Amino acid sequence: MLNNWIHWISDQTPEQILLLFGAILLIDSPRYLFGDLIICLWDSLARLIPDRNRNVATAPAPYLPSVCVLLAGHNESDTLGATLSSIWGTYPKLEIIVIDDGSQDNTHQVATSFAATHQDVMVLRRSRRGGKSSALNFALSYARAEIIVAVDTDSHLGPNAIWEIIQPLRDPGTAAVSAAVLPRNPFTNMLTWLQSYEYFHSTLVGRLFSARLGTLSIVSGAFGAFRRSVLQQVSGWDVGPGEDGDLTLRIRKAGFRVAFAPFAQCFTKVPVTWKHLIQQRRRWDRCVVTYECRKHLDMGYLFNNHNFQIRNFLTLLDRWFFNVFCVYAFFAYGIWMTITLSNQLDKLFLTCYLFYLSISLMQVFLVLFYSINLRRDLIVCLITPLMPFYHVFLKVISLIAITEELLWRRSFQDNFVPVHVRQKTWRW
Amino acid sequence: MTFPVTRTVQTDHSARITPVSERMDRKQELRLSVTIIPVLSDMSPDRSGRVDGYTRSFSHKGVILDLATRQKLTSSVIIALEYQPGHYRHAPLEVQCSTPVTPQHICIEAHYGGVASELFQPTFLRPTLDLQSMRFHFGKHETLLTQWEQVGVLWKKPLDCIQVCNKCGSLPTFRKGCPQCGSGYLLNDRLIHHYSCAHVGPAVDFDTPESISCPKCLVRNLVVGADFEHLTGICRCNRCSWSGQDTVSIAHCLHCGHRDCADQMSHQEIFEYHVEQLDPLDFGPDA
Repeated sequence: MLNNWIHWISDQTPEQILLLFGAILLIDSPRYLFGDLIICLWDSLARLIPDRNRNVATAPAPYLPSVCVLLAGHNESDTLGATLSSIWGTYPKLEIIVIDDGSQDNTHQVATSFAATHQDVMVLRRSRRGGKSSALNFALSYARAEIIVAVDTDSHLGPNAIWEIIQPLRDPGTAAVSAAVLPRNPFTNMLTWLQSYEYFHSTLVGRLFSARLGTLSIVSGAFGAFRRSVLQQVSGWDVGPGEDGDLTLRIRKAGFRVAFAPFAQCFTKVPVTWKHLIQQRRRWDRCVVTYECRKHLDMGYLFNNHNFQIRNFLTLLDRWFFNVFCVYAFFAYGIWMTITLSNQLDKLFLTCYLFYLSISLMQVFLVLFYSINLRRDLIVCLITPLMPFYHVFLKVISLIAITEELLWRRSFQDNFVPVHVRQKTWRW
Repeated sequence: MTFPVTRTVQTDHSARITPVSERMDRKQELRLSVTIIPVLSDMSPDRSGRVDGYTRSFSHKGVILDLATRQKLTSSVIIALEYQPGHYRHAPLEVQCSTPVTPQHICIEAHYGGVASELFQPTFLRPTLDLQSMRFHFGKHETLLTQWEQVGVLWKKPLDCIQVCNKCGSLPTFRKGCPQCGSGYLLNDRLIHHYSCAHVGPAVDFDTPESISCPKCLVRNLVVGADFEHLTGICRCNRCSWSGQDTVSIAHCLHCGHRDCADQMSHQEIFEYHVEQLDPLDFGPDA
């Protein structure tokens, strides 16, 4: 079979081969490859060439503003204690506000018992669940620190994560900082392993690339830092789901930059079942339509737009092209290729798979280049041969999510937000 | 209810419905074992004068008794009727007349009521709150009630378990207060959560002269419940620097001025006295 395939591929003209690879080039992962390579090369050279202007005497003092960590949770008694322990005491001027969003379990007791034995921990409670956004806004009205850090109650912070995430905020033009969100349970089963590799590549290296381009459009709700004055200027979080991406875009529209702190690492629990993964990804993918295609469409207005910024426009183009157009194009292209080469499907798929795998292997080197735990990340990268199938699976979910959002606005029926709130929120 | 002695009822069974006035006057011959406890002038029981006997007849007004004594009884007595083995019911009696029957027996006729009736009043048997000392007590009757308890007419029944001052035992007053300094003067934040835009802010920010409006999305004429909800924010102590949502219950004794957390106060059980009353209607001809 291998001989047949070699003969078949050698008979193809360069144009035909490019046509074969077109579908793959539309998948998310390869799109960053060339950019990643440039950044990697740049960073490698920066490491090799010593900075002569830099010495201890002129190095700026560490940026140490007051920080308030907001932890909003609903029925999170199992994980809240460990999350609080991973945060408390990791920064000198740190205040923690826990918001119990109408939990029916022991979340409030866990928080209050922690607050009783630890300084600068405040616990807020409301009897009725109102959603994550309003819970964070509730806490925001009591935060007095200069920098607000939002952390999910099921996430753990890595060493010095708070210090790392606030350093980019030394620049007054930067109002939000995205962190590297990594899986906490990478080897629970094959699904979490696949997600781990995806997080390492898309979340870590992908966001690094977007941040360098100035088109980073997401500060993850799991771990993100914001300047409090800017949060108050944009009136905090709007109703979710996808409130983290929405807030990031509103901060960008207000004229501020969004930075990325690769060494501010947060470990979050990723879904362990296919059902939960599908639910999560449908929610994420629907947000592209809700926010980039509807709510913040004005970022793309070229005329009569005083707030027009080319970076924001590029951000929209990036999301429209890769997260909407390419999803449909990928399947249209795949169907067309299947019909055209219906008698050579096995050779077609083998070609695409090998091409994708070779690209993925190059990406493995990039992931390892930015790794701070080489052994763990090397094991994670062993799942690479299965990644093409996983990415196609994610594309199917994206296709469903985008279509249902475009046609039926399904995000406004998501249980992420309580019924009484989602019935009243603005429909974009 | 079972009685130890069979009764002989002399009634006209042909009349199905007996008029009430007739029933009240009708006597019923019934021989039941009783104990008579004389009531002294200070309302205390005369333990030494306790007499056993039997009933001769009952009516709704009173009772005729054969008693195994020759001594003269006080005018006010308590009758204890054993309606079940070991269980007694009691009623106050006013002795009308006493007639010797044999050298060892007398026959008395008594009506229900008399000065001993006061012992059976609920107000007499329950403790009252004295506003001077802020304590529950039975006043001057406490010793009297104990004596009646000792002779088996009254028995104690738990009424409640209350928190009292751990210094003086008085009843304290309670309020939500600061867990640090115990002050009850707390300032509470009133916040509003607007559902549409998730904005949470002080209620005063939503107040406009015309209506309630959201300062974030500028929507006007908001309706509570449908568009927004009130949230209870944190409380700020006006005396110390404490702020938070978890206030504690603070007890303050008005008698001695002691102030502490409510859970630090002592617990005290309070009792009332109970009496099993004999109902004359139980022995009526139609009972």
